Amino acid sequence: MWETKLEFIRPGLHSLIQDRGRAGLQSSGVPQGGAMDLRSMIISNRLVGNRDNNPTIEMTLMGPKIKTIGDAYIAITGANIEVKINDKPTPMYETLHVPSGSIINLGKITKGVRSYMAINGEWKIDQWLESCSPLPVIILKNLQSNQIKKNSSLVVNTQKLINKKTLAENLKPNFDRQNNIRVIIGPEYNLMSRSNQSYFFKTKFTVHKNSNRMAVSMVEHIPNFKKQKELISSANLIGTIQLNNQGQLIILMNDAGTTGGYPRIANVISSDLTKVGQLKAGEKINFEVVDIDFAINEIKKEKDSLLSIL
Amino acid sequence: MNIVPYGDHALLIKFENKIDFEVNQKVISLSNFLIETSPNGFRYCIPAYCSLTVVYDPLVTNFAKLRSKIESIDIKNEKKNVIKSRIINIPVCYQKNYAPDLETFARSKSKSVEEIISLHSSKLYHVYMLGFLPGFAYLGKTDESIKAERRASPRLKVPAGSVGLAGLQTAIYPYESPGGWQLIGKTPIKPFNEVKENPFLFQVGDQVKFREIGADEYKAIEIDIIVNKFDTESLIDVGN
Repeated sequence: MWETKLEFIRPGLHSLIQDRGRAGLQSSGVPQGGAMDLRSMIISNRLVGNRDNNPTIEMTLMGPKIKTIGDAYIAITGANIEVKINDKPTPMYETLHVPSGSIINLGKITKGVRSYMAINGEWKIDQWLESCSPLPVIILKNLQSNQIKKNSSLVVNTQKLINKKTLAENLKPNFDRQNNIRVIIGPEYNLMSRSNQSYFFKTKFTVHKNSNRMAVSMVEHIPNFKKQKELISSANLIGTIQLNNQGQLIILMNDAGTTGGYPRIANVISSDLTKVGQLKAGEKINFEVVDIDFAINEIKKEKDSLLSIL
Repeated sequence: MNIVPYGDHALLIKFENKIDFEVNQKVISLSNFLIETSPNGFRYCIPAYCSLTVVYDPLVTNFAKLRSKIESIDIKNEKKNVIKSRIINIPVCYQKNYAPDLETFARSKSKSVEEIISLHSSKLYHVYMLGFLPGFAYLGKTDESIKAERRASPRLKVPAGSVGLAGLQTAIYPYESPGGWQLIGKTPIKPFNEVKENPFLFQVGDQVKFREIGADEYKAIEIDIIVNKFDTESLIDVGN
């Protein structure tokens, strides 16, 4: 066992330390937080022999440049990102041994939006209510360090990793086939007229540039949506699709407020949330309705496929 | 009570569609009952004014099973659903520097500032739900005569501890944030204290009473909180 220190020479565009987040505190108004592409985050941890909920670095659009002091075992997953270790192009989706004194240079993301970097070991970072995920709306003093800044550093208690892994090709995400988002009809679906409903399912929607960890919004508005008087506030979940008064569709994500008063017309199925977490501004998507049994079957398939990298 | 699917791992229980104490008590009773009995596959609840979202593990249970389980609960005959009545007493300073909207609001209601203070601080409020921001409790209902419109343009920064009015609701901003409520006072008490093991002062079902204090007492409490000498428990009366 030894300590390895990572120094962030360049922080990247928006790099956060994320785990699964904190579920079950919505009743106190706390959003769940956590990795936007949970699948990639878990895979990165499994590739370096960590437990699934170990912290990772979530990198958005542009990655950081890191100097290592002490040997490290890392893996990079998620959106396609340029990885160079000591100027040498290096593959994603496998266990990498990074010798002490190396420069890990994570460049531009070319497909998808968010990449994940796992590092073997126990991270010396702050936790709050059993998660390291920083909250968006308030800057919690004790989790500020989990938003990576220039010249910040990270210490990990690590060890030699003998068992190196590479993810099978068929388990890697295909960012060219991310555009079909499967949904279950939501509690207020019937507040849309027949023609609204058919527009919802037939339209190729464009991802709005104002999309972030709170919500992924659509550019196209549903025409002639009859404005509702405000509904009595009720809970939102990750993947809830809201329809606001302007007829705009908003997919609520990990950092969204816990309650709201807009019609909830559909919910993205659990196994497609990772796709939504990787949608880029300008991309085209469509919504396909499925039933709950189908969605549960997808969760089972997903779980089984990940067993192979335990 | 109407139970509908809400995504592939949650269900939504809809009660009578109104903001009402009796309806909200049913939401909270059922929520507490589910938390205490934790049916197979149950994960957690998110109570709101007149709805309860129940999140479950779809690999352990399913919508139909959980729905029939919930439908079979006869909440009136269950002893476990007793709502523990806590009364939380919140000191509020309504003086000018602490209450930027109070005078204008009083004028719009053709009342004196004193009348507004008395109407606001004489009622026992009920915590209907938490939401919007961590630790933000929706308290109600206020007296009809102080029903408030939201500000036409929301403030970008409402200071932590501000006490606001909107509709028939009142609330304390847990920390500095944007907000459109009418600000009629301020409390030194922190409804959200991140360094505490349980950071949230309020939970659904609590009752809240505001007590008018002067600027001197406000500052004294504020200092006690900063030097960690303030006992939050002293604010709480536990009923039967």
